Amino acid sequence: MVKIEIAFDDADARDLLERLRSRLGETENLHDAMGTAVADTVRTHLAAKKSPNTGFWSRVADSVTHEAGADRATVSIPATGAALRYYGGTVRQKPGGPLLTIPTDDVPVRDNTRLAARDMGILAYLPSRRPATKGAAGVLVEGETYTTRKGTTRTRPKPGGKLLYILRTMTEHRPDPTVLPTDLALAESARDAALDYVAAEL
Amino acid sequence: MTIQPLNLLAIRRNLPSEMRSAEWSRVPQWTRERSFYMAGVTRTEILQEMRDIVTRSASGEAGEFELRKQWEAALDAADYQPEAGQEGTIKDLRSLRRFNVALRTNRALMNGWALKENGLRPGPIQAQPGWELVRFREAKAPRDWVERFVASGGTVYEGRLIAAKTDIVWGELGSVERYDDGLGVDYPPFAWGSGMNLRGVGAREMLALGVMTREQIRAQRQSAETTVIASPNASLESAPLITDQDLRDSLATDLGGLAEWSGDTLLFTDPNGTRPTDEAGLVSTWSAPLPPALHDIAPDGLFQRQAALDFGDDPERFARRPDRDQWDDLARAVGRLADPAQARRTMSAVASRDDLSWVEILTGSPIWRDALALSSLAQRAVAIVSAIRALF
Repeated sequence: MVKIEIAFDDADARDLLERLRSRLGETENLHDAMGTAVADTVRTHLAAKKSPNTGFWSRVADSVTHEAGADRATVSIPATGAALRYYGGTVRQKPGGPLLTIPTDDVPVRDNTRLAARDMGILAYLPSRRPATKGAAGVLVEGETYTTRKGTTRTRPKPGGKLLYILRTMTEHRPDPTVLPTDLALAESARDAALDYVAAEL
Repeated sequence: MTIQPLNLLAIRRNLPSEMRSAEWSRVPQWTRERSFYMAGVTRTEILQEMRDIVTRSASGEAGEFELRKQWEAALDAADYQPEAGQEGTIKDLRSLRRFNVALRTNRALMNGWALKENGLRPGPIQAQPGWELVRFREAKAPRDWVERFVASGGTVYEGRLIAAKTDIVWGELGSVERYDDGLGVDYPPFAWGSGMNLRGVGAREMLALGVMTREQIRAQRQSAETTVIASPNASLESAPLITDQDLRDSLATDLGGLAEWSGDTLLFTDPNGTRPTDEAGLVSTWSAPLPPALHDIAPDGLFQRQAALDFGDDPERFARRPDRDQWDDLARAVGRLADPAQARRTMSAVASRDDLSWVEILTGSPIWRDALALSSLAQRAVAIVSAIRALF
């Protein structure tokens, strides 16, 4: 019988396993890495959405942050308006406050901001025929001033003037699940980060 | 503890100051990150209002439309009036552009800072040892970031702008010495109004692309664990709030003694400030070299002196320039030589370009011709300013 004895010098392998065990034991660091990767995926997804005039989605993307702990990581999007678009909901006029003013595409954009009604010069108010039906209260159109026979200055719609704002007591928004990446994409980015975390030790 | 953007605001101290963006950009990053300021804003209550607005925005408490109304109401309450000739420009605190720049730049810097600090933590820097420079917002006139990245020492990998997280390229990209629009930070947005941002690149991809070796990745991680990062992150853990005195001392050092505290306000007195002086004092101020941090702002950091000299070269061309900064510099200089009780009125009168009939009177006077004959730059500039002051 022939016996072959093989002597292993497995110090490197044992060192590697020890390092891996140690690294994987640092759960907060691992979760931090996974949270960072998921946040990155969310930011990239949001930044790819188009808002060429106002840069809204790039600001939403820029606001993404995360927190990591021993048992979880949480990704947050604090930018105003992001939750409304994702979850949907109803926006109501504040009691006693001004009507909700929704700009049309004819309202100019300046410095990545759609101009507010107060910046638009003379506007004429045209009330809705059935006030507040389904939230519609009226519109603001381009206006002009004129002087009555009694000498009073008044505002009226400018002939051929554009419709600039829709005034509402409430607006309803449907949920939009595409605001966020799919669950699969998020899980993949977390898994990739975990694999990268280990790969860096190999 | 993961860093949040609002952490940066929490450690900042309000610094009302006459300093403008170009001057602030030359203050080292350490000091700037600890200061909450707006270029040219000396009123504490106005600065505090913007700080509150930035806080509300970053925490998602209110949108920009609502915040702008808050800002306008605060300016009304403070009885704020823009300087003559600056109405509607970016120097007018009431303008939409100024509001957007102040709010969005602050918010972008806070987000960029938190992104960088979190990316350098032990976990993320091991899993994602690299950054990739990516565009988050389309620009109407995009800057050539590939050229900037390469010029800053970066390498392009398969068309992508990738480097190790601790590579010096990130600091170079935001350098004010290298780029006029640099913000002086090593994190997004790097430059004024840029739509650029960073995305982490995983360890396996960094290895596959050949950006880093395994040893470099490990060394970078070890460095992240042992190095005290020179940013507010260190302060967050060691000293939650720096004191006003720390910041004052730091700024005094950065500015080589050219800034002076008046109560809670930092007055950038010499050579571009508003401190009253006489002709001899101004000649002396404009003859002295500036501290290293400031002397290389084009042309040489002496804004008021340069404005006076440019005006002297060709008043009519000077008057046609769209850049209002030089008019303000000239007006400030004239105001410094005026009776202190009249300084503000004199400054406003010069700054306003509505009526320039005085220029013709000035250039026809003997005092003007005498001023232009002086060979010393400082003396000539002061004589020009003095000649203008004599008309107001």
